[in-house]
Amino acid sequence: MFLRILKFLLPVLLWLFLMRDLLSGRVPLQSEPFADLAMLKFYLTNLREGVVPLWNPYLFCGFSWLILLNFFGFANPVWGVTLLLNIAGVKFYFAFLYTVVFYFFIGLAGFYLLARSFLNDSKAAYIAFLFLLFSSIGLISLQEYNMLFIYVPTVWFFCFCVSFTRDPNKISWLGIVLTLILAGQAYLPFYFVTVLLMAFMAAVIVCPAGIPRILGRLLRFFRKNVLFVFLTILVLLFCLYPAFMAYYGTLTHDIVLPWRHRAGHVLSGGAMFKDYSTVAEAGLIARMSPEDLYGHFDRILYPNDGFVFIPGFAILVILLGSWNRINKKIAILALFFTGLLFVVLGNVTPVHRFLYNYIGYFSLMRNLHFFLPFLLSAAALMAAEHAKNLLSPEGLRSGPGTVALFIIALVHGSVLVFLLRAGNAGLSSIVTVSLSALFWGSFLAGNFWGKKVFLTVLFFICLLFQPLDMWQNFRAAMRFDTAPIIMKNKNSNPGAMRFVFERKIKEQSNSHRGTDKDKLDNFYEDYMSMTDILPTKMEFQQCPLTYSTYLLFNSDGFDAARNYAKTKFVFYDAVKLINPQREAMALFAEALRENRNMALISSQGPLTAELESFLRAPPAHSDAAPLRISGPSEILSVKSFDANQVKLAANLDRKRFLVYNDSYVPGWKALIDGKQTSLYLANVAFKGIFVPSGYHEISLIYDPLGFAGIPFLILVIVWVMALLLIAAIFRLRNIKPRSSAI
Amino acid sequence: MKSRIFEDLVPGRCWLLYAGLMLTTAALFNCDKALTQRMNFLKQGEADVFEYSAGNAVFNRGAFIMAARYYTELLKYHPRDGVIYGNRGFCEYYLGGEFQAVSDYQKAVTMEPGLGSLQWDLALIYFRQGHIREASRIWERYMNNFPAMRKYYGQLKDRLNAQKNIAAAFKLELLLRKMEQDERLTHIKLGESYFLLNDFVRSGAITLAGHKKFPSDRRLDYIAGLSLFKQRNFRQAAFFFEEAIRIDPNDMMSYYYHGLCMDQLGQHQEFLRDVLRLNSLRKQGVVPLPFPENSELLHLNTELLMVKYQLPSP
Repeated sequence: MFLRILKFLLPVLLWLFLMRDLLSGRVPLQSEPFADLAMLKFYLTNLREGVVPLWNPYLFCGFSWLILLNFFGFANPVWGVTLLLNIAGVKFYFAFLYTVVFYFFIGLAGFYLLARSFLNDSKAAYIAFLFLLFSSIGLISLQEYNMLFIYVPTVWFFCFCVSFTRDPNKISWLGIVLTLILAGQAYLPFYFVTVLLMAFMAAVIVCPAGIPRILGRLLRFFRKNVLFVFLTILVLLFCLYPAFMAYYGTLTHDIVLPWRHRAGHVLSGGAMFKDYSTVAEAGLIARMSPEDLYGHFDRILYPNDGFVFIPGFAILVILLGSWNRINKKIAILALFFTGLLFVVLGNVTPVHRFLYNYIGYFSLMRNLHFFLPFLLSAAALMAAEHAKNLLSPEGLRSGPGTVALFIIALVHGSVLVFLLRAGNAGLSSIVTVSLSALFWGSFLAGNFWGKKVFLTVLFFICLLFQPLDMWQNFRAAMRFDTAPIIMKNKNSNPGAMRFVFERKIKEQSNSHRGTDKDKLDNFYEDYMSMTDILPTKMEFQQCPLTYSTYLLFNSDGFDAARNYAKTKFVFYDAVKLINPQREAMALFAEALRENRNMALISSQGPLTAELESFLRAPPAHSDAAPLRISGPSEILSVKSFDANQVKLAANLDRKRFLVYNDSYVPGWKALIDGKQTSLYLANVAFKGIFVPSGYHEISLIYDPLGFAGIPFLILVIVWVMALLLIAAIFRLRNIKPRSSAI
Repeated sequence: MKSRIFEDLVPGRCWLLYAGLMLTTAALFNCDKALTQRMNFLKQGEADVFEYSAGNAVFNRGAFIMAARYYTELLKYHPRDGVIYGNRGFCEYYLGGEFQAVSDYQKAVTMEPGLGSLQWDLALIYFRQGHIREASRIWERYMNNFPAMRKYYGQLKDRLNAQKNIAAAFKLELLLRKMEQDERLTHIKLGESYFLLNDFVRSGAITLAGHKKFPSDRRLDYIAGLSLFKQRNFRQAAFFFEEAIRIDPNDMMSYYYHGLCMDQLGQHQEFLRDVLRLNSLRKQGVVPLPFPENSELLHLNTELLMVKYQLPSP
């Protein structure tokens, strides 16, 4: 038992030691993860106050946060670790970082279990685990979280699937459902779907006869447990309901994602990339370089969007294993790898274009490098399977020694010649090839004293020598990464949600030269600070926001609109119906210029009796200026506030129309003294409501899901299922390796 | 035996599967598209490097790595292009690959003998490596060719203007302005080099000539003053240090040497004033500038590369 723990503990400790600069905060995370960090901070701050935020009232005059809840998987129980660490006194930055490390190892544990089930050999699974841990995934995982959020549920899904197909049982089925929920809530589920389809196709091609057998087994299980399966599927659909609504919001233009589109497609595009070149440009081919596998590692670009590296020893094992006999596992892995490679390469093969044209969801996926962990996992499994076969009695030593020696010499000699001729091969790569030749040569040689220990030690040296060189250079390269905004926010803890009556206007800094990306990092800083702010024009063009707000702040009168939206509440004595299309901008600009006491209401909204009477009544005070509320007063005060709702107390001398300069989307509802009343799209993008004279309590509530408790219910369901998942892991441990399911 | 070897190597082996899959991939793979994607991706880094070379951005290691890769790729298609070699040498130098940088610049200078900026950068690397004589030799040659080069580019610019090729003419205008800066820096670095080689007469002559052309550059006055000081021409040396102080009133080293000149000339009041001034500057936290001064490679010839294939060689 102790040895079993030690064999995992040692590489994990080594990995943690190699990542010590990042984990101790000496070097910051790169800029990209700052988005996740900022969003999670907003989410957990709200959660601590007992609210699952569906709306962000602080930026862009408010926008639906449903889509961002699914960006990082709000129901993932792992965020409980962040919350606990933060409550225990760990700074939020580190709490987040350690949670991600923890999640990474959960993913690796899943990979090990999957490898053990798939390869039917715990030693081979351990080798695969090491290959993956010291591949580029081990480097990138702390810099590209979305990749991790997709990878971990997917790998556990496969793990449960293998277990379930062998021995259909309720716990494995629950594991499958839970991982499906997590995969469905993490960024875009289509990456998961693609991986699943590829694996399924590879399995069908290699062993078509096995599929009916498995299906029969599954059908028997479904028949026996109809109610259970039905309930779990219902739970699955229920938990994915917010994700579906988030996507639906992009179709109904509740939210637009302008950075995903070139001009002109913002409205029509939804979340899809209409322009193929935008998708194709992101192919991994641009980031891939063969040099990353063997070159001088101080010249590797260590980006957060993926580079391909797997220990050189794994590649040598695969090359040596080319002389192994084909088995089903190798065939499945090779086909899966190739199929996924075609997707990842983007437009350099016609496959991706075909998928883009004929499989709709491919137009939603641009980050093709998110498939990188799956590619590397397949490669690690292939290398481990080959290593197992080569080292087995039926492997290298089964045939004539001369043939084996010839193969070893041929593989290592060719690789060595290639490296020497390449001219830029790193020393560690050359040494690895030499050590590998020594290892396989010694393996073939007759018995000598301490052979087993010698081979074991040499195996680990071969495996780790090149990755250690890479990690050393990675540490050196990371010191150049300054990421000042992250450093600044490293020691800040989440603040409290508070309401202010006037927003700050953010000025474009002239002193800071930088790319658009740097400027967006400033935007994430605004996220972190959780204060009401009206961002710069560039940010209005780059970030998710409601469509009407996008139109308003991308019109010519950007500055006027920003100055207007600075004050959150404005009372008007008159209203006018307008068509909320292009003319609305011009009319609104004119109204602002002349400071008219008249709100503009969309004619596409409900034409209520109240509105009609207000339209008919002569505006008694229309000459006066509109009443702007710049702070709490007897006329208007805020009684309570959180991300999803605001409760106001108004005391007016006459009936007036209140415009709350917070974006309007259909999920909002208004109540006056507890009775629901009409909410209007007013002043192009904002919420408007008629307030009668006298004292009244007004509630504005955002409830896009139809019932406010749904997100909490999902959290509870997922947490309960996660506990069952832990039980499932223990169950998996008791399953002895059997012959392959397929 | 033969049949066993054949059995072991051919049928049902993984290499057949791998070869099949690789052939399929190769058949579907479009190299041109792959190259375009890769170049577009790497090109973004090159823009940052250019910003750095223009003094507008801080050093970004990732951008330099991308740019070096970009030029390496580009060299596969233009293997005789000195400008590309020069640009890659520029990136290599800042990535710490001095030998690779020297090698690239040497090739660049051989291929583009008329492009002085490459020589300038090569000389600066030699200078930093301590090969002062080699550096001074290159700078000397560069300076001698300077009038001819400027005349050539000037004529070319006029011709392009006459042909209404405004874009190319504008690029050349930028190049000419950059050359003016190069000439000033060459006077400074050459003066420094001769000074370090203890050739104070030539150092003084070079910097004096530079002083006439660029009277507002403190460094020329300072080196001229130092050369004259070493020649024990204290009166003239003091004049140049005063010039340097006039341009930069916080120039501690000029005060120091000016004070020494005054001391040698017996003007103790002046000497005392310089010492007091030095002391006050030190208290204010002013730091003396190093000698030789650090300077950067200046010649990432991006704009030249853009118009290169439109222009005849000088």
